[in-house]
Order: sequence, then C-alpha cells, then structure tokens
Amino acid sequence: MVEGQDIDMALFQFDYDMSFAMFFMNADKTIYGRFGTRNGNAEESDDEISLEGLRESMQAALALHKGFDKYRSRLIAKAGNPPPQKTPLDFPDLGKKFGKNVDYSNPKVATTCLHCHMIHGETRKQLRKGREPFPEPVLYPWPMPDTIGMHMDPKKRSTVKKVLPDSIASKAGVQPKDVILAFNHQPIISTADLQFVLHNAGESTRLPLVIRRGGRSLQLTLQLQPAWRRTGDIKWRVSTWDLRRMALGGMVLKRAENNHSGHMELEVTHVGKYGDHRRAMQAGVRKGDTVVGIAGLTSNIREQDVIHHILHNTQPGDYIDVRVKRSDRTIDTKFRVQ
Amino acid sequence: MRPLITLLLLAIPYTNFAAGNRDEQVHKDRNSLQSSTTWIYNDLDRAFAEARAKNKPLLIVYRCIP
Repeated sequence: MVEGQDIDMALFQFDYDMSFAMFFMNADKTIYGRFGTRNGNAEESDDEISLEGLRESMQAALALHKGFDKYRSRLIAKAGNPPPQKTPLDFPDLGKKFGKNVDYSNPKVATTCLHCHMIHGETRKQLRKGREPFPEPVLYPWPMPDTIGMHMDPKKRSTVKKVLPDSIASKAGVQPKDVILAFNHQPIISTADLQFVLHNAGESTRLPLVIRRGGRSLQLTLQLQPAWRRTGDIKWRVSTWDLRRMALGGMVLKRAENNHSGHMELEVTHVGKYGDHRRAMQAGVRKGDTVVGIAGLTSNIREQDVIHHILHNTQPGDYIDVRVKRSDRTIDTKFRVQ
Repeated sequence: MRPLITLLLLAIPYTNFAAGNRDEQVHKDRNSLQSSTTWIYNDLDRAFAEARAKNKPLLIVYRCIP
C-alpha cells in the first residue's frame, strides 16, 4: 500500500501545498508531465484547472508516450534532483508522529494520514532550527507562471491567456495565445510543468522557451532577474501558517485595500490562541488591530514581505518590536520570534 | 480499451469536512475505490507492473482523503 507518508520524494515532486496532483508516467518511471495547479484564487477556482485542460494534457502525454524513444532524453530532467529526505517520514517530527501507512484500525483514522504540506513546513523548521537562511525556492515554492508575467489558460494544456506588461515574459516576446511546447528543453504539457521548471530555476537564469504561434515554432529566451520569485503570492498556502508562527507570533495580516500611502497598514485578521501560535496574543495584539510598524519596517508592504524580512534578519528567540493602532490608541509591544 | 493505467494514491486529509463524519467518510472512500474497476488503489508496484506488461502510460493521482 503506497500512501502519502511513504511517498518517494525523489520521484513524486509536486507542490505539496496542493490537495490534488497528477502524474503522467512511463512504466520505467519517466515523467511525461504533471497536472494540478493552484494560484490561491479560491473565489475563481475555474481560473486554475479544468477538465478541458486535463483532456488536452492527457492527449499530450499520450503523444509523448507514442514517441517515447524520440523524447526520452529530454524527459529525464522532468524528474528533478532528489531531496535529502527519501520520504516525509525521514523528517524526525513526522517520523515520530506518523506510521508508514494510514491506520484504518484507528477510530480517528483521518488523524493518521500525513498532510503533504507538512513537507514544506518541516523543511523550513529544520532550516530555522539550524539557523540557516531560507533559500528562495523554500520560501516561494512552485511559482505560478504569473510570477514571470504569463497567465495561462486553464482550459488549454499550456497556452498563454494574458501577458503582463513590463514582465519577464513580455520582455522575452511572449504573446497571448502562444502555446508553450518546451521550457528549459523539457517538453511541456501543463501549467504544472511550467511551475516545475520555474521551481528548479536559479535566480538570474536564462531559460529557453519554445512556443507555437500561428502554426510555426519560435524560440524565445526568458531572462530571470534576482528575487523574481518574490512577486508570487504565498498567503494562500497552508504551509504559510507555520511561517506566521515563526515570524509573526501567530498573526495573520492583510494589507488595507484603501491604503495608497507609503505607510504600513496591515490589519490583524487573526491572532493565534494556542501553543506557539499565541506569541502575538500574549504580547497584547488583538484581532482587528492595525499593524503600522514591525521589526523596524513601516512601509506599505505585504504580509509575506514582512515574513521574509523577519526570517532573514532574526534568529529564533530574538525580540521584535510591534506597533499597532486600536481605535485612537497606539500600542507598542514586542514578542520573541521562533 | 483504456488508454492509460490509472492509479489513485491518497495523500493528505481534506480539512473542510465535519469532524464527526470524517472518519466514516475515509473508510467509505477507500471501500469505493478498492472495488473500482477503473482505478488501481494504493498499489504503485502493481500499477507499474501492469503498465509495463501492457506498454501503457500511467496516470497517477495524489489527492486528499475526504
């Protein structure tokens, strides 16, 4: 019986914050492609995946299977580099908590099934515990193509729907309706395939892109810039919950929509009440407060930018100062980050 | 004829489910999939062996338990 807790992490690499992922594979374990994408826009899930898109991706996988000998060498890179852990149970905390299989004899069977997002969480916990910086792919995993300015059509296998002006994709010459056939030399059959390439890309890398436009193939080059991943959105990720514990004392912060000033106004939409998630609450922060300064930051930035700053400029146990506004009052407090 | 060998692997709990019913749903979910003629349930080795024998590609799905 093969279940999530015993997943071969060298073979099955996907965005572990998702609750659904597909692989198209050859019997020799070569990966034709991945399917399953989430961008966090819960109100418009049709904007992420569709049955029409799945059908096209499956047809493309069958074509790769039919021409396997021709594509084999280019498919090898779709496997990725093996991580240090062979399975999630190699993380000490997960190995202690979960067995190799879901325990169907347990009356609370659901609690015996490992959450895949814990893989992201444990990777970060180990880095933080070892006082090591977070590499960008660890903090911003599996970037959506939107991060480089390509919004994909969910009803197609790998077709660009929109290109954001002045983006990396725009500068490379990508246009709406372009069908992406290959990215960094790998055959592409889905948005998840694009994400795989981006997840494994470096900081200032040139990535070749082969597209089909109007019946002919063109080769373009994407020039990634330093810190390119940071424009992506991580707030929807389940694994971001633990980053909030580490950096924000358990607060969930939302940027005020009508704040067009240069000053920070982050609404506290939740304060953790239990365990290590209650540091901010213990420091006196309440739901509904507005954070106007934290860890020396006072500019109008997103929650994830605050998390990034704190994780890269503090060590577990350090105090950070927080200034909040509550009605007409300004309250200064502090708590220890983890 | 099925063009793909299909394999379903359960990975992660889906948390938006009423706690009282959830464990029961997990059992029901497994029972229905184990009796499926479309899916090979939680048996990766069998899926690869069958794909090899029939020279078919595999469709492998990871999804939450209910």
